[in-house]
Amino acid sequence: MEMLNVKDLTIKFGGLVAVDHLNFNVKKGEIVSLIGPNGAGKTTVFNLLTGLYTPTEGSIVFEGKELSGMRSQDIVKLGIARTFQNIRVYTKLRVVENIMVGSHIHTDYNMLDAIFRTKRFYQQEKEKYEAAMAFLESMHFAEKADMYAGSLPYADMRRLEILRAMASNAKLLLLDEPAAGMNPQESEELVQFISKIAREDGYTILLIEHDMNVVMNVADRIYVLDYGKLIADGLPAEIKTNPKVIRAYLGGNQ
Amino acid sequence: MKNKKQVNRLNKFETFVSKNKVLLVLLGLAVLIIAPFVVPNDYFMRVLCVILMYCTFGFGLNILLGEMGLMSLGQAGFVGAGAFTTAVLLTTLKWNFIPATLCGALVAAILGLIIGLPTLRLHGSYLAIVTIGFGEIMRTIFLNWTSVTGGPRGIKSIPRPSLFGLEFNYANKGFYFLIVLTTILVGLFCAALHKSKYGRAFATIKQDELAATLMGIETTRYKVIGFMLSAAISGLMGGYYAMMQRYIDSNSFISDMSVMIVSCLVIGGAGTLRGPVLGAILLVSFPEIFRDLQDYRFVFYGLIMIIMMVVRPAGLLGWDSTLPYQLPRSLSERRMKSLKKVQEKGDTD
Ligand SMILES: Nc1ncnc2c1ncn2[C@@H]1O[C@H](COP(=O)(O)OP(=O)(O)OP(=O)(O)O)[C@@H](O)[C@H]1O
Ligand SMILES: [Mg+2]
Repeated sequence: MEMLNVKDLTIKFGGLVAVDHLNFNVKKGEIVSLIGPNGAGKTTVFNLLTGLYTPTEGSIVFEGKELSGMRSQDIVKLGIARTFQNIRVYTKLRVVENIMVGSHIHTDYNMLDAIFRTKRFYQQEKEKYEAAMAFLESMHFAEKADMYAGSLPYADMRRLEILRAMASNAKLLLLDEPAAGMNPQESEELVQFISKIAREDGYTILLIEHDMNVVMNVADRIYVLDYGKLIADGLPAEIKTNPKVIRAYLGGNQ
Repeated sequence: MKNKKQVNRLNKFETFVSKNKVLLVLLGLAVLIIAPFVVPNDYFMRVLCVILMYCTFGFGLNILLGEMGLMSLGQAGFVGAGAFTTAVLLTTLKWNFIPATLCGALVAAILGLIIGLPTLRLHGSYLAIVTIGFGEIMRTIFLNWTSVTGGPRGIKSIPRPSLFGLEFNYANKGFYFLIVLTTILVGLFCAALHKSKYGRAFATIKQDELAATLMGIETTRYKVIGFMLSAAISGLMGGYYAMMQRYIDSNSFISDMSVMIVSCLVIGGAGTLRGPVLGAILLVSFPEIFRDLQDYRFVFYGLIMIIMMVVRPAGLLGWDSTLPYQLPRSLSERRMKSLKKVQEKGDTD
């Protein structure tokens, strides 16, 4: 069964149909890539999935629950977390604090606990801190735990953003151009990283990416969007040779 | 790195402070305890009290401006609400000062909710303008709601606080120590809040509200909480302000007060508690030292603010800590061990 099932998803901004009757699905444990030329509507799809926009039409079903119309915060709690095309880590918080922000929704104490420093407060803070450190450790990021996120090298900031999303206990990660601005070696490491978290740690991944090397190396399946419409879908090898896709990317119209 | 030297120096300083924390706290307490005995007269005693009050007002605004990056130029409205509520309860209803000031805080908190809800989508200068409007509305209410606030005549003969027949006044230094105690409690409250998931949530709102929403953080709830707490703290100290002045009217809570509170934070450093403390000390004592320049007070504030914005926007004492992430204070090694023991005990039971 599919983890995520999108049917006839449509959103209009005035006259512009940014996403047009889009159908796609993601199965548990898969790495699915969403590609398409600039302005194709990829980020808009993420904004719809995360509740930032309400669809004009269509449905989004995640693990049997309808998401359209739900608030972003409730969608996160169901297990969908995302990263952004422009990095949005908390630059003025430390790395470990960024991770603890990721687990904020599972930090269970109230204001009185915080003010009177109750046992529950200490237990929760300790638990979340230690979980964050153990998580960073397992991701080979622990030595940077005390650095401010803003002082990390660019590629690490991108990686931290993914880690923060993972820390929310998400099952489905939506990654918006994680390789943007990376050099070939860094994107190679990213490919390794994404494969690892999907194959070994069991995350399901929906990936927007312009870097075809990354997409072809990491994706199980690919959907191609152009002007909000799905123009092709299939295995990486099929997409590579699909004439419609090549035309869309080259911008020809014959 | 260009300012590596500075970072090193800061690191040394911070390490020193954190190693000698207990000693420095004791030193601070000693200063607070000795101060009222060395000031020559009641006038200086009053200055000390005003400094402490502005520390608290600063702590209150810090929750909005420092923690969440929300500018409020209407804090005097909250202070006034607390002051008038307390004054009415003390004079006409003869309440004790403790429930009276708490009610003052409560009324201010409700106002914080009322101003907080409609302004949730506002940031920066838009929010600043709305809060200026709020301050003005409050002042107009204080001036015109004659049956409660006394209108232009204000409220006179507000009693000093007293408990079991003992009055807290300047002569027995009781009033001063009451304010010291309240300020310390408010400071501890703010520090505890900062070092918890609340502080982290506030920080995410300040830095990137959209990203916070998409991490599942109920940003709206936290902003409303922030507005209410900021207002409650201002209102609480507003009650003490009324008991110190013994006479209040609508002119006690004009925008000058709001501007002064903002200035304390900007000069000292928003986002810290040490910032408003230094800001209050400097800004309250300055006009007392330079009495002749009293009329030009706000010209100086303006100048200082401009200079600060250009030279040191983080404030005199505002900096990013160079120390590693610290768990909430008492979650130290020993505490961790004892917690582990508790857990193990729980596991074997
Ligand atoms: N809130 C909005 N209001 C109006 N138009 C919008 C809005 N959001 C997106 N669009 C439009 O929808 C179209 C798709 O934008 P989107 O950002 O989804 O593209 P994209 O595929 O992510 O492109 P890129 O590869 O450049 O990131 C664009 O024409 C964009 O201008
Ligand atoms: Mg995009």
